[in-house]
Amino acid sequence: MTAVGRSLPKRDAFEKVTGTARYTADLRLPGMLYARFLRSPHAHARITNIDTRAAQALPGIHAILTHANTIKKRYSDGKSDQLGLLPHPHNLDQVLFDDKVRYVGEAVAVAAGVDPRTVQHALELIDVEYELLPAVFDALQALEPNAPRIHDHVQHNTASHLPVSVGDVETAMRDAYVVVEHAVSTSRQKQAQIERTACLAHWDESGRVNVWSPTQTPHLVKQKLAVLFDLPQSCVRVVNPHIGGSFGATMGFTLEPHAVALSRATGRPVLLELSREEMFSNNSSRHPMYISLAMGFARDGHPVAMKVREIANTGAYASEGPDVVAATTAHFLRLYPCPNVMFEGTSVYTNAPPAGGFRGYGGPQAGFAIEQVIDIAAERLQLDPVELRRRICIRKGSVDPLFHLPVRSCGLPECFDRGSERIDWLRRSSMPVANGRWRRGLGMAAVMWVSGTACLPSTLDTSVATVMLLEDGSAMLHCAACDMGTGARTTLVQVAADELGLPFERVQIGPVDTDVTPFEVGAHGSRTLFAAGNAARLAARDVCDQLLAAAAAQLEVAIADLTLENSIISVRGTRDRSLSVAAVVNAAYRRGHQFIGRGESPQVNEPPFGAQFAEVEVDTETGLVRVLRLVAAHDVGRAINPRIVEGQVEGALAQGLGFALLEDMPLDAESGSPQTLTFADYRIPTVSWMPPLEVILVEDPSPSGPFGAKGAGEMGLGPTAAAIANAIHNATGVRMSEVPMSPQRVLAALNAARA
Amino acid sequence: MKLALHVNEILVERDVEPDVTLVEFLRAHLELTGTHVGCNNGICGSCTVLLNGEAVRACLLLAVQVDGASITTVEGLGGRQLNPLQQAFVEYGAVQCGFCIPGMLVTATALLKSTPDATRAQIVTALEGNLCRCTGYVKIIEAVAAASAA
Repeated sequence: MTAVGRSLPKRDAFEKVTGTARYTADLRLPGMLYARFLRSPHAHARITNIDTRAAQALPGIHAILTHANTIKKRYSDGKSDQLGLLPHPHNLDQVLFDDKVRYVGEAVAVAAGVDPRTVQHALELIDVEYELLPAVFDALQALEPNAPRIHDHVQHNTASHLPVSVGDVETAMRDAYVVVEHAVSTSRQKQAQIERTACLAHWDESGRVNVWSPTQTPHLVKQKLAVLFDLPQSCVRVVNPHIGGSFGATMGFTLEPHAVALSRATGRPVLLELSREEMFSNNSSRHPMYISLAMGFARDGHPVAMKVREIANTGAYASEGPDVVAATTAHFLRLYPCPNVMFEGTSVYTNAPPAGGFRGYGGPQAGFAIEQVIDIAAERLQLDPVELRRRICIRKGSVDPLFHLPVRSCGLPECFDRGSERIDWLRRSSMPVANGRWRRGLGMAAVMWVSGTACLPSTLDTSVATVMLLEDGSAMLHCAACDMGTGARTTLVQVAADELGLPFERVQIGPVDTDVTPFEVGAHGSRTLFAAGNAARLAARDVCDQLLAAAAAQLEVAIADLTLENSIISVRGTRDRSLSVAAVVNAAYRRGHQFIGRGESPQVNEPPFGAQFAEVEVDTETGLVRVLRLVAAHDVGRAINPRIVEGQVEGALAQGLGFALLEDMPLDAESGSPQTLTFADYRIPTVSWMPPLEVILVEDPSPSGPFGAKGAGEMGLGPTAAAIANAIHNATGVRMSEVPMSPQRVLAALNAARA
Repeated sequence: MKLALHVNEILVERDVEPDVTLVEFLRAHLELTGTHVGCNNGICGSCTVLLNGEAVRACLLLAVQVDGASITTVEGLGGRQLNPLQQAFVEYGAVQCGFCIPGMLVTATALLKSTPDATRAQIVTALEGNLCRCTGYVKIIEAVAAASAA
């Protein structure tokens, strides 16, 4: 029986339900030390003195690192400098420790000792003197001419500026039948993975650096560590233990540089782990953005002009900020092709905690803006919102206007059909429905995504895999595709097993360990099953070809006459002329040969699509929004493992609902201190809060993905907030411009409309 | 302080400092790392264990408070074989990153022991204090419902 298309249980689920799965903080090495950071209480300050003598003298303390005793090599914790999406001159803006702090919670020292309590005690004995500097937390204020300068080498606090201009926007806007403008601002949403990030590092006696961390980009971390510590890449080994969620937070560096520096200083393995409070005050977030969008439409609904101004708050360091801004163009400029475009995106330094990559990577912010504008346009044009989108969206057979990639599969029309039918969209004509103080309405939004980052010729989007046949005819796949909970390490085996003609049970995948896996750029951009899956499939194909060539020689037939199914190689049209895979492999093995196949992901990309439909009820007295139903019809290409894909979409919807209605980490306006440092203050969706989710998998197979698959992990976040905002508008007539759409904000909008 | 208790039905005797939490004791002293610490504030529920059959947060208890008690962690739920609840979590795709899962399983075990025919509403109420960031809870509820007699 083939494996592709079946909801096989996840391979690692057995370890995870028995408590035997080891996450980074569960690891122990002999002689291991524990480490913690000391962090700044000030948002912007120069360190005038740091006295570690008392802490250093504490029995059991092995090392304390500060700006005074660490290397000053500049780096970026993001991956942009390696991926090469666009050049950003200011990217390399970090050092291990600086003599200046730029946000509340920035590390000023790190201590390593024999146990966590001794380390905590040592941190309390460190005396730091600061000279306070004026600080700025809001991106618009940071752009003002007299704003405090956050990095000496950067003018106007501008980390990146990206203009895109096509055609003549001013003329087209003037001539448009309808012009719709909407400005939105978005929140500092935290990835809030439940695992607290940790890193175990061991700079061993042979001079090799061994790192265990929940990184999504192990080979990039290997490269970055090699550069930072001036080592050959072959001397750095990065390993993934089980990963307790990441959602973008563990792309590039997290704790690796400091853990490695401590191990080098102490000669011991060092485990560095964050507290939940540090997970909030550090460890990345979604970029808060201000987006102003204007779109002009022709009488038939087709967009004729689009003007986008986008300001992203990247916080104290550029990290992923410039690339997140660049990536939003993929959400403004592709789904509804428009001949005249002016996009201007800026990522801005502030004294906020650094933002970074977060599942969706700019998509939820852009989606909140453009999908509301389309909804407003439909109303002004007196068209049904689904009908307008059908009319103007990109189609199969066309070329996307931004990356110029062919759209070879597009299940969006079917997403519209099945989503509308499921939620019974025709009821919208009798909406809103009033029930006492409650108003009920329907809204929808659409999305177009990517399968990986192969979109510009300059972008690095490489996955390499090998498949090795073992002496008994079973197979081992080696690939550094991380599984942060996505199921990739199950679905990749499904792909390889079917290509090999072996039962799923006879194919295993090796560890994510840069010592034994070929290069793989990382798990981001909805790329893993698509790109690493292509590499795994090609590696399996390659090893099969070698195997069949050997079998053909053994059976004295042409390769084309052979079939391979269920571990048996047979001569077509015969009953008795067959060999087991094991027999062919074993014969080769005895002659000193092992079959090893390799595959490299081709530089292809294929857009997945989705349409989401929300039914909401709004309490007109309190502003509370209740989502009654959320239907998500997503074209994910062929679903390699339908249950895993559903789980990915459901998880993304939960995070999209949190983005829409609950989540933000505001900073104190005076001090810049994060106001939510626990899960009590920062609410993520709980089980009773969640509305019913209805996921519909639309499978328009992609010609370029493994067995027709496309990217599926991130897309669910893209349109959720806009679908809910559009439903709120349908219910109440008010248009929302900020997320989260909290009761206070909805009530303020209702009151403004009533006034 | 001297401490004697049953952990997963095995008698354990240890000397511990009075400020060691139950979860530290389980993870560091007994090397039972299946019990996870997501927040250490008693909010996320990842560290849930059974104390004399009742679901509690191991990060909020001191080890010395459970002297003489019987503790069950995720490692003690099944034997060499998965129990029906664990099996349901695997089959229904309830596990993504898996970090919250030990707490979910322990909480659901306590529920199904007191209410073997738990309804969907009862399952949702019981799991309210266990945070998951991966799944949207859909398949976790399905898995517990499948293991319930209701």
